[in-house]
Amino acid sequence: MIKHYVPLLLILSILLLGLAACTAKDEPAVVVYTSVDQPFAEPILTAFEQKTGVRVLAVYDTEAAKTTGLVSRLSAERDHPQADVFWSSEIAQTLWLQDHGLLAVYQSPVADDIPAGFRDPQGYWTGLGYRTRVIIVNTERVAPEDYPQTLADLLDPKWGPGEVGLANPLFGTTATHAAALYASWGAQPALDYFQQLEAQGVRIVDGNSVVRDMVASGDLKLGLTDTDDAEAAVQAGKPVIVIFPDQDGAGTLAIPNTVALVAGGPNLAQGQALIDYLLSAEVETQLIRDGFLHGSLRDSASAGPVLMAVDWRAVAEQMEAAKRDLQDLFLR
Amino acid sequence: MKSSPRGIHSSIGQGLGLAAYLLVTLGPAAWLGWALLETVVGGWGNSAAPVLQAEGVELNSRTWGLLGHSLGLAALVTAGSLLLGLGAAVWIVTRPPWLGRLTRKLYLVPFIIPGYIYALTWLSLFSRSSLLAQGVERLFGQAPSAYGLPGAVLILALIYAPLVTLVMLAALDASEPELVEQALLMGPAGRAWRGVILPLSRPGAVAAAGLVFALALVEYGVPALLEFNVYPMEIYAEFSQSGDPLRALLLALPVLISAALLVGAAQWLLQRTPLSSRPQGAAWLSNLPLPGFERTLAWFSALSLAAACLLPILVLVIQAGSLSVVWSAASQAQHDLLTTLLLALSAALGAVLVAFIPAQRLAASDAASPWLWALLLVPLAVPAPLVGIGLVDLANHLPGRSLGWFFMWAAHVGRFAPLALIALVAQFRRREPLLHELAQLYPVGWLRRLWQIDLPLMAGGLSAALVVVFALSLGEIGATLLVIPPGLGTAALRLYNLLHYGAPASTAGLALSLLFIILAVGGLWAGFYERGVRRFGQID
Repeated sequence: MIKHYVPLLLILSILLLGLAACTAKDEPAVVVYTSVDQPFAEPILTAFEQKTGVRVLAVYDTEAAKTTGLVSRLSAERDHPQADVFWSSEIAQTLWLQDHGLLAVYQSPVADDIPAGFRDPQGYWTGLGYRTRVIIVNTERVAPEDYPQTLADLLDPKWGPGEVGLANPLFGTTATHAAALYASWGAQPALDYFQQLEAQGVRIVDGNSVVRDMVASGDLKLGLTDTDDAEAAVQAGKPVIVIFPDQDGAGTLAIPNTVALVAGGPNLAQGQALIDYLLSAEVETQLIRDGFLHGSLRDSASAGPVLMAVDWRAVAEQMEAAKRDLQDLFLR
Repeated sequence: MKSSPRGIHSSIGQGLGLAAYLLVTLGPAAWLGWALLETVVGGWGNSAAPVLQAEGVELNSRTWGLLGHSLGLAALVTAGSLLLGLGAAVWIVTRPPWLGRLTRKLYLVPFIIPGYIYALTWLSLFSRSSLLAQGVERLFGQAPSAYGLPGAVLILALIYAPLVTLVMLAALDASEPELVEQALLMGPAGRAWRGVILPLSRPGAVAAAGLVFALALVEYGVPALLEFNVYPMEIYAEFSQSGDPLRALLLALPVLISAALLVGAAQWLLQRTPLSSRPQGAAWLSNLPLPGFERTLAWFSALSLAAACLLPILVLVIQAGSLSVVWSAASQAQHDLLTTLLLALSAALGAVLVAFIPAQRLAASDAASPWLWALLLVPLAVPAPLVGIGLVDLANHLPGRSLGWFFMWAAHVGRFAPLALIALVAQFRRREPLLHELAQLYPVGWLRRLWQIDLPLMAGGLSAALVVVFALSLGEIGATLLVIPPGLGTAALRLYNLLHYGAPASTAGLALSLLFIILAVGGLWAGFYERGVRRFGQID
């Protein structure tokens, strides 16, 4: 019987490869690489397709790739870029791409009302809403009077070894947060902070979603995570509360989504059109409504939590030093 | 001595086959290696300072410690998988035939579920809010923890044990009834097991050990989830910081060298062991009583693997909640599921084709050196992103701009062809020489002989190779993410995305639909395989 099927399967596989290779269509298209979670990004991109008739070909990143995914791909494709637009769920990767000459300038006309602090002065990238770095607390394991209110409160000796969690600070928004602390507090005080966390027995877990899940299940009493992760636990009815740290002090770190044009991308006009759409107030509102973004950059000064003032250029400059220090501290 | 034209053709064919295998499996890394060499040579030419130090890539006590973690983890996982896998194989062959046939279709389940999802479902059983944890806490005053080295060893051993069972079943199927009958004449059944059957299957155990060791050495997803730092994390951290694949390749060298040495040595040992027997199945073993220790091990392993199969599925079913959730997740991901299925099928076929000729060469005991073994198996230890980056960089130097489906397929074939190679070598080495020679005399064309005789004779090894590559291809993300054509998605990428999004029901629904498809495809293939074996029985 095998004799009938093996050739059939071989022929089938060759046909499939051939068919797949021929699927390229002539209709206008735009290629976007995005690290925004697919369930949030997909409806937005579909709406753009319906609105403009431009086909969107997306590649979605995944946290499991340890941020070696799309940025590495863009870097490797430098000589023959495949992507037109990079839509990042944070900012550090975008700054890295800018510093390595992989982005092109585009000042979107719809971004005029976005504050200057969340736009590159030359137009290499523009912010789109923000997520904040929050403390998530299990309400069944921590009494209200013990809720931490500042990042420094995480160093309180009342938290025993293994009760406070942090995503691996070498990757993702936790790495950006660490670099922001380096830029804001100074390198040595920031390093001291992480050293004290380590000495206290902080648990370094595999991503912000894992921090959320472990706090929700009670395996951790509290941890640092992003608002979208924390809100998902709240929406699911888990026994957690979300705290915006340092509201009476320096403010909570807000990390903007960023949208940028890829240098040398094959579909310039369509890329610019997609950027205009992504930066529109309509998309920002939808992402806030869906729970991915915490707030709008357009009214960040007047509404929502007190946000930390950040010089993103200084953050980018501190990124490597912070990662090297934390690699020595936590990856052993 | 004069070579015959047929011999020359055969040598050319073997050379081309080896070259194709090396091109697909090592090509992307070799391409990066060439660039690295140019950088190093250029650096030495330009300044006296060692380039590697200047680049900031160096091994220090911390990184050596991480390498020690990885080697220790791989060794413990290998030992655990061997015990569980061997025990499960012995349990399966000593069951009544109907039960043996049933379990042979199911034991691979833990290996098929993507490792990260599998580990997460296990961890949810140990979470503080689980019934298990609460029960244990009530009894002993402390909740159990699945984190750290013991948890990583346990979960990885459970994931890889089916791979050992796969190889060991093939070895047990090849046991010689005549030898066992002679052993039974001289003493109790225990002597037959310990003196004949298990020693004869030792080469299979060595092969499986090498395989599991190489896979565990480069594993990072499950250890990271279980909060146990390993060396591949260093490679990813470096890559994430610098974005420079050459530095990552440099850091990967210790893993590559360790894997090459150990896997090469294991396979060389295997090659030194004479093995020639008839793959006629081990149904006759079901009547042979097991001695005490082996019986205990077999039952322990069988129960462990049964739990490893059933509990995560049960957790997924509970998390999904209803059939409509599974259906909804599958409907939303239908394009990704189709892409995944086609990719995994074509990658499995491609890997078998690419590995076929090198496997023939390795199986010839007088031809293969440990160095050749090491060269052919070292691609197992190449970190996945480097395969992807190498292919992208290669594409940059080729005419045309689109990577297309072909590069994604090449990434999967390149990553997993070494596993197909091992399964095929084991099959070639079990082939009855007399039967093979008789088949060559069958007066038909080579293609017809291949379809009608050679392939049915190899049904076991082919099935093992296809199933293993198919399963691993389904869960691949590290290289896929870098080469997937824009607009396409795979089920694994969507699964990990959903996992981060925080939708346990949808994640479980998608994982269950994927599992259903795998079992359906596996069931179909098992049907073909059994028919192939029956056909072989007729030839025999």
